Amino acid sequence: MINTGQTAASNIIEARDLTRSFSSDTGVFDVSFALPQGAILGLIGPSGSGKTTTVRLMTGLLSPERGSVRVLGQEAITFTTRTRERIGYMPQDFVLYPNLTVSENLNFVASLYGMGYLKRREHLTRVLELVELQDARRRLGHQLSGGMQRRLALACALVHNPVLLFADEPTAGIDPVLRGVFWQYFRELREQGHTLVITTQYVGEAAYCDLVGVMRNGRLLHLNTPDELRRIALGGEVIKLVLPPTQVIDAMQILQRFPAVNDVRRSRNEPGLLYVYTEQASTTLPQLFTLFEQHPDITIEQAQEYQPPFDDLFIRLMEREDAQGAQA
Amino acid sequence: MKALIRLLSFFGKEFHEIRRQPRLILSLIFGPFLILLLFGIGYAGEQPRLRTALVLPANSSEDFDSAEFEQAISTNFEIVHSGTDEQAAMQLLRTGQVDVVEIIPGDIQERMMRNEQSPLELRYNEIDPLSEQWIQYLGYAQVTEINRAIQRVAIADLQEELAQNGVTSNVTAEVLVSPIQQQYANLRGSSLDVMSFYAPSVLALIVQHIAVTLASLSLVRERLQGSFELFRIAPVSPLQVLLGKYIGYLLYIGLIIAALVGLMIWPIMLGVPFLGDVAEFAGFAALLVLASLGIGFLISMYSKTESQAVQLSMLVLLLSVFFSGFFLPLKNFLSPIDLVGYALPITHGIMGFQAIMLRGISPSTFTWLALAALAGGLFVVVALVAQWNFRRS
Repeated sequence: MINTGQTAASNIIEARDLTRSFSSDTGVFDVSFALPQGAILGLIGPSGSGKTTTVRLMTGLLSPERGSVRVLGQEAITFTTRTRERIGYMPQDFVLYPNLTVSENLNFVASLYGMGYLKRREHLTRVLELVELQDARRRLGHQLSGGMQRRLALACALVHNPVLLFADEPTAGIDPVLRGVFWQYFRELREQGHTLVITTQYVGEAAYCDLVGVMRNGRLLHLNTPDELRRIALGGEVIKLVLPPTQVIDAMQILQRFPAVNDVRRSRNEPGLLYVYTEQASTTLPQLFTLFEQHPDITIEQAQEYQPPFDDLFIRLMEREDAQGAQA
Repeated sequence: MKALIRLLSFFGKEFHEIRRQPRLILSLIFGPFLILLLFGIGYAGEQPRLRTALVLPANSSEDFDSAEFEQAISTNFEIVHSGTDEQAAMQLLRTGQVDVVEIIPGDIQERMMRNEQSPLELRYNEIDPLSEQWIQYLGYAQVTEINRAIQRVAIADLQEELAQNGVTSNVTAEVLVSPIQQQYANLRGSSLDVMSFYAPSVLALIVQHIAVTLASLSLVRERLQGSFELFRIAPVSPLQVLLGKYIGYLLYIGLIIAALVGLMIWPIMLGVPFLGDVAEFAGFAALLVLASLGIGFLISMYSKTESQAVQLSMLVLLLSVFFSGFFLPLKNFLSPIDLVGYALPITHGIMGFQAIMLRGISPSTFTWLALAALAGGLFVVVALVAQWNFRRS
């Protein structure tokens, strides 16, 4: 099991050897992890990597062939009504009713969760404010834009104030501004004490999560905090050095001999840019200044800790995985 | 309380979804009404008007009265051609300008004197077995009537001769020819017009068809749309989903029935009689709707696509037209094929609606029980299949 450092009692989800296959190479295989309460878990991975299947197993929509998943202290496949009342689910597609208004769709979902008229009114206003659909409450589902439909779907998933929210690719196919707004909602919910499991194809969104699960070919390769994932992908931390292009070769030779440096790489696009890989950037950075003071022929124009985008990290992780697979 | 809210949630949803489709509502109410109206205005009765070419004998005896023959024949046959040329009449039949060629024998009396029967030929070119039966029946009735007319004349002549010889009788030729005469008595007073008679059947057919179609599309659409995932994760059981839909559609179709019956019985519209108890009618109609919804939901569970659901609904409609007694009496079917009819809610719906509306009596115990058994049985089956479908993963 991938350990997140929490005790079992505080874990809201615990999966052990979770397996559900659709063919020999599609499905989810031996997925184990634990998710503490009040965190955002982002499941990232390419299309077909098993993110949605994992969510469907966690919500009880699919039963595992092997292993188990306990959610809110219960096996997902045997959820009681009370447990279901504490779960919210936002599916990948718009599954609401195009001939109902925003308000009617919300009322319907709220009624499914057994909410009476008065309680429903209060919650409806709250979620409509959260997703900023107050002015569109009388618009029909089919009259909404794609982004508004996603917001309505989120509002429906939240209308009963669930403890745990599963959102399957909530930001798929929407513009970057709205994606930012969605992540703002998610973080607000996290602040309110909700736990969220969010799948996404946008690797960059991993930065917004408390925990990131990297999936590929139905397997959970890593489950870490974004910072830790960065360290794993890069083998440490990165320092960005800018110097005159004519001095780059000499600087690389000096750096490669320095014990605190694990690796040095040149930028392909910018000739005067070097990436220095080290265990801890904050410790190594002052040491590098001291080092280059001994080499007055080299002028460091700029030096700072660098955090590469998650897309790059994801590619590195995949490449590493491919290399390990080839060795095996 | 929560369970009730969940049940009613489906009613609210279905209600809002349907009220957003005013054309659907109008077509469901006014469509059947207009069909019935057109039927009532345009239907001329079951007996066909047969266009007939009459071939009269070229060399007939002196006492042959062709005008009398034509008058007798025109009661059941529409004479469009009359003459002595048989070939010309047959040509009309071949080209479809007439339905029947009737060839009148010219030497009836001579043959009779020779103790021979005279053939009255009816020739036709028909593929419709019902039309053929009509031609043969009307031909038989006509020949019987002609024979009686001949007998009347012969007996009258004989009585006249006997009277001249002092033998008299107070029994007339008419009584001697037809000593027995039929008498009819309709306990209802008078029979209904054809439209009024068919109105309850049309109502039952429409109710069943609406229920089957709505229910069959309902679940399959939600399954394809993905809404089922929401239901499966939400704290709602398959039985609640099903019951909610049953209630929603029952109330909705109930409103349509009320509107449709209102239009039917309104004197300034169709003026169809409604002699029975309104509460009993409502209860019976509810049972018909529930049984029909059961068929629709079963189709919905089985269908993978909307078009498949529509096709199966149309098959139910087709079965209903043939086997329900709508046009062809159910008793005309051999056992066990007639069970197909009894397995359809409409069969009992027609019997029940006719009893309540047209006779003002309660449907028979068998009708009530059969419909209740269908509604209950189908509900149990649908609930079991839904349970299996809902949780299947």
